[in-house]
Amino acid sequence: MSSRQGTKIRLAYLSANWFARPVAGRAEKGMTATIVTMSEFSMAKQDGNSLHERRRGPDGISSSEGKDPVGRAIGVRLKSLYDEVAREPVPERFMTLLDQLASQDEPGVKATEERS
Amino acid sequence: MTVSQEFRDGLIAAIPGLRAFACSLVGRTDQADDLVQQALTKAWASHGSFEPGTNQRAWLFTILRNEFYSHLRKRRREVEDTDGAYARMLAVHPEQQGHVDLQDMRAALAELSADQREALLLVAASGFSYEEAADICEVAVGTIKSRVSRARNRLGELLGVHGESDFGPDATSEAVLGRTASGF
Repeated sequence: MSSRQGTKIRLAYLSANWFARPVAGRAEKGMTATIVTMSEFSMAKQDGNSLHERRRGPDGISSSEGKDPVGRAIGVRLKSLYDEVAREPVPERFMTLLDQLASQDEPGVKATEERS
Repeated sequence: MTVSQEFRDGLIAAIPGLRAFACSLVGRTDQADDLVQQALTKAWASHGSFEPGTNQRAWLFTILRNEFYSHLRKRRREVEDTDGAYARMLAVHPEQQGHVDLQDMRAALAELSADQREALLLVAASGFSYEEAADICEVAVGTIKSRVSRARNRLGELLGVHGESDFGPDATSEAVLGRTASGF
């Protein structure tokens, strides 16, 4: 999909507040690659197959095996919200944190703790 | 006891999901990442109590959730304001349009009780089974099923997609989850 690249770039921004804040309005172009649009949702109300065939979960898993197109559309959008965050790269702060925790475990560094 | 590479890899692999779950709990990424950091730190310190071979991801989600609630218990006022804060944050940027359907979804999720929202997110978005979600939330499996069921019915009402024929109890459960009972 040609808008894939744009989507990736925008996601970091869009994900800043995935629940608390509505997504900004300037990113429509790329976003349709990963987000179920209103028209698709409306379509799904009438025709369950349309959404079913377009959407897959982040792991390539079909998220539309249920029989109810409406319920499925809700499930897909829920996952879209979740994936906005879950698809971001792991922030550097966490790798730094794990390195720090690992270094604390090394002999010698623990000396101060072992005093007590 | 040194933390194994396997354990560390498991932590890293779980971070994206933990962040998303944290966002669903606190609604803001800076707070959410603080929560993830607390959870990772706690998990590292508690790695001795993790049984290798069991579900490390579920174990981490449990820790994160416990961190969230113990933190909130210390700040009683914030506990009571959790849902209200959601509504306010949603109202802050009404001019930002974006995708109407996802905004509606956010607003609808904010209307759910914290229990229901959490159960729905764990099962429908995080990919946990009812049993795993029950362990994470420390409630009975039936309770989780009930919460998910009520959550999806409420969402259906709020989003205006609730239909008599569309939402039979079992059919809806599977449909909202977007998968069959056999899981991913």
